[in-house]
Amino acid sequence: MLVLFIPGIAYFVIFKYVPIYGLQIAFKDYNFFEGIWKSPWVGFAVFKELFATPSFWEVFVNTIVLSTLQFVFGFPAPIIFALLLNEVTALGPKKIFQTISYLPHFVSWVILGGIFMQFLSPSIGPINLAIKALGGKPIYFLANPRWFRQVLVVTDIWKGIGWGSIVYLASLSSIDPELYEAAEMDGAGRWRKMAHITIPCLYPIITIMLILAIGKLVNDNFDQVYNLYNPAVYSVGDVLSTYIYRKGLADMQYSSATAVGLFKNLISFALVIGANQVAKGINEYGIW
Amino acid sequence: MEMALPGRRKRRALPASEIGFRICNYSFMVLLCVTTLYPFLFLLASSFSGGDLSVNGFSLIPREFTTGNYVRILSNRLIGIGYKNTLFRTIVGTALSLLATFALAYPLAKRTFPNRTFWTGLVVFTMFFSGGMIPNYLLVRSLSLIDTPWALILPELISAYNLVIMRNYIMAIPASLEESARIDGANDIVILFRIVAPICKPVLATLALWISVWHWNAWFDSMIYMTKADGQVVQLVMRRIVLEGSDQLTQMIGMDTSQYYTTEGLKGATIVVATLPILLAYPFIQKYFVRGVMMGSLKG
Amino acid sequence: MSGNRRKALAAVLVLALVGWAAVAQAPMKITVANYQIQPTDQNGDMIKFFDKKFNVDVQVMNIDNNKYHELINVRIAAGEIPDFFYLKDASTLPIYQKQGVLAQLPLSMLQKNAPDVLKVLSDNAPQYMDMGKIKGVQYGIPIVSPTNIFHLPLVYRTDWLSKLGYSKPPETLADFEKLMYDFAGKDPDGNGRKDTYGLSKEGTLAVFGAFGINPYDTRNGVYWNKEGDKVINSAVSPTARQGLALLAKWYKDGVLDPEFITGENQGGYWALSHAFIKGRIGFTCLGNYYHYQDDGSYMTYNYDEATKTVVKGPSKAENNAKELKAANSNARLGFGMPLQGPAGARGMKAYSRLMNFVTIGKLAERTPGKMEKVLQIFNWAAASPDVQDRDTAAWGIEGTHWIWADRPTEQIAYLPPFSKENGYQHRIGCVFTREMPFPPKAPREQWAYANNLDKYAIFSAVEVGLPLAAKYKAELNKIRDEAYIAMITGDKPLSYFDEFVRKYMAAGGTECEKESNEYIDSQK
Repeated sequence: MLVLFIPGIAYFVIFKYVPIYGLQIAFKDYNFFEGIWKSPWVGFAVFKELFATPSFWEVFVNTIVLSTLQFVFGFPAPIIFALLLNEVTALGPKKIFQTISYLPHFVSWVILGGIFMQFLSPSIGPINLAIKALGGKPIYFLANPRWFRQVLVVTDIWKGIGWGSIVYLASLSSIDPELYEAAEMDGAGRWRKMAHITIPCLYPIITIMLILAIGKLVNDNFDQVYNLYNPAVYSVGDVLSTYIYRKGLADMQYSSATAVGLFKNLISFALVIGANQVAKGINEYGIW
Repeated sequence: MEMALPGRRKRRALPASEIGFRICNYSFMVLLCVTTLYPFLFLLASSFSGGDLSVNGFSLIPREFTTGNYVRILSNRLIGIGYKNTLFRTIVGTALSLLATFALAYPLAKRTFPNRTFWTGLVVFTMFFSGGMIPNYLLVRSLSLIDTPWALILPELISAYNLVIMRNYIMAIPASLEESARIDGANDIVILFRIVAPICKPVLATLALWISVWHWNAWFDSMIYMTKADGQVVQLVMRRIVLEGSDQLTQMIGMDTSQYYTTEGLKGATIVVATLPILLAYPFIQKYFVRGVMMGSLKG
Repeated sequence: MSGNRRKALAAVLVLALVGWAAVAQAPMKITVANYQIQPTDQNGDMIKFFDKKFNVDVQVMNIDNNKYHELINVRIAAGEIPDFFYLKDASTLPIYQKQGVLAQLPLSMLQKNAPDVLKVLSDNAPQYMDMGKIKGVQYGIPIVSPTNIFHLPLVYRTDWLSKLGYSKPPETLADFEKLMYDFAGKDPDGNGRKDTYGLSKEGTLAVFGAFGINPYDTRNGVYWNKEGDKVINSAVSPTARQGLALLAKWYKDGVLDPEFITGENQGGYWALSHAFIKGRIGFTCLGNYYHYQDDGSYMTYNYDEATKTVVKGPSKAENNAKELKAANSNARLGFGMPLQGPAGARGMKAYSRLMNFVTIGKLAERTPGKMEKVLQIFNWAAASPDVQDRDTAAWGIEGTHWIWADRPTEQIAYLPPFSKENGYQHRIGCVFTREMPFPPKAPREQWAYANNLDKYAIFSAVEVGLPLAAKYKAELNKIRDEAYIAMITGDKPLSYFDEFVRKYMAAGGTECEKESNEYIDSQK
């Protein structure tokens, strides 16, 4: 057993824990020449300066709100998709649907941004053309703070639904078919089978993915926002990563970049611990 | 008496609700697939275009049909080296990562392993906290891994995320399966590979997919750790091909360098070339995601 | 002294002499980090050339140019500071200096080892040398663009102009306004539908230019305008308010494209104005002059493999010109002059000519003679009065990599197979070349001169990147962008301008203004 255990742990110690001293940059005035250890210690000054920036809290709130929306709607989506795909019994179409559904995962937001810009255009985009045909007024989705978040959430779900369902399909494949056969003999229909067999068998994997997803709540999707936003929707769309990007690398403020990272990571960590406790309380599955 | 052919279900009339459901489900799937297929088809069309296809409202018909973009990519001096490096890191890296992750997940999944909560916590902690680019670079440098393919494989050998998923999967396996083997005197390693591994095929397949896709698409680590041209991975080579014709260069020269402009078609072609291997490889692992296949083989 | 001892002494002396000669003659190692399109091959032709010509051993640090500063910083943190250290982002100069990474460049050393560099800068761009100084000490040699003397283009649909009865583009703001209203209201594309507008986002720069200011800049955050003895921030100047008032009116009247918020470019190549190409607007300023080169704008020289000669031919339409014609074969475009505003100001934004800096890394100071050597090589490669030298340093060996196409206009033609390989020059080792502001002679730039694109260019009064400006940049730009859009679309009334100025100054604008004025004063 130890033979299995030691190399893995050694890896973590060497490659993950040894470099962790770099986190101190958040508390120092980093100087290349002095290096990380010798740079002067400034305590929480970096954090104070960061929090004093007027926009910091606005973009932080935006990040959280956006992530939460994407989580609430985006977490169940691949699961539902996997379940529906599972109900397609014909193997050929099932494979085709599965393969095509994950294609957008590989297309970058640089390209998708341009596509959506034209797709959602108030003058020539298909959606607005349909709205106009039905007698409504066209909506400038990408420049309207009331719609921008929805655009981000829907497009993000669409992009990730296929790829995200893979892990659930893998779990579904390991469900014993005899369970289904037995249920059928008892006269259970599709929905009963799903509720009593399929979903309970997915509890372990769903729980884990849920906890891990909660840990990612503070992260934002830079590529997506950067390629879709504009100043008219900064109030809801400007997130931490885009704001910091505009601050520019020329700043080379390693200290503040590390500080932001540390701040985000602490929150993520706390969220995960919390979610884990709750999950264990409910059904005993947890990360540890 | 007529025997039903083995494996064939008896046909019976489908209830209306079933037909209704199937129609809805299929329609939804088709609709989704049409929308997800579209950007990719656009990229494909764009990759065969000489002109900028965005001007035509992202139509699916190539403009100025040409195979020139692909020629340009595949005839690039470094493309062969790029593929060689990427293939190496993908194959070797994925295999090693799977092995290492699986090996570490198993002990951490055993309820009898001492302090397993502590060690698992140690691993999970690293998911959130890392030292940053500079300490990592210094570490890799001090281990003399710079300019070796191991610099691309070792630093991210085991992802804590993957480890957690694998560990939980193993934890869900009934202990009875292992006990019988243990009674027969098998040691941990034998149990791991002979008994547990086959049950874990779905999750192993999933992780293999995730890890190999990550390796295939990675380029930033190659940029930092490989200083010579022959260490580049294919994604980096392609990024460079695309950036070659970017303005920063052409603006400076003051001569007619329009022949070098990167066409949008070239960008599309690089994405197609990058994604194609995954698409081609996927059918081979798809069987792991098909319902009921695995569990059945387990019986007895 | 006995005979044996004499012989021994002589032997020692000879050995010492040989040893000293060997060391003195050993080529000096020089590490170079520069902008590259392709990684440099350590055995490239030009590396060998420089090694031989200057008796050095050039070692190139291959840094990917797209993430240049991120990557070089990692190397510096590991102690590898290049000798020839190119700063891709000009505003990093004070930061690296503060970190102690750069060597000082005394004027006497520059005069002795890089006199041609000093001369070309003082002849053509004298104000830039000082920008490489920090507190009076020279740390960087400015790299000044020879082509940014041309302001952004003012491009009109000339076929629309003729259709509406205009013989040439407008020169005053008042005439321009009339034209914009006509573009929007008089159906210039003749299709019977009201689907055209005058201008969109990029065109608004021309309006502000008529007031002599430029309130947007992506690199240094803001342009500074001279008001008598001081400078003020263009974005909060009273004249900006006048520009906004005009734009708000045009938006309300349907002259300014309502979709200006998401910009004229909708994916694809960044400098393409989809709105202009598709005939939605009749005026644009997106991109640079060369994005509008047309069939026959100027003469080009290309090497024809079949005949093995240089062939002269007319330029072809590219980018916007090409796409416009492809979308509509009757469409035509042309340049106009910067507009003159009601108060007499006249101008159009030009990009800052300060591109980057060449510096020398601090470690070079440790080897005597190294700094001088680096400067000598750079002097020869970038600023030699003989264009043959400069082209060799930039493109390779004449006859192998390139040949002369037209010497008077300094045009060269690339030889195959190099003509097909973009970035070959970096692969073979042309790593010491950087732009110097020699007056451009190339046909493409002559075309720009012919269109008067160098007249009335607006540059910022403070072109160098200052630390506080960098610090507050993101915040200030955000406030400005949000406020401008709100006032133009009518979301907020124009009276909001005062509050916007207050907010802006409070968020760091006041400190930046103080910093910029101190800088201006220190340059006097």
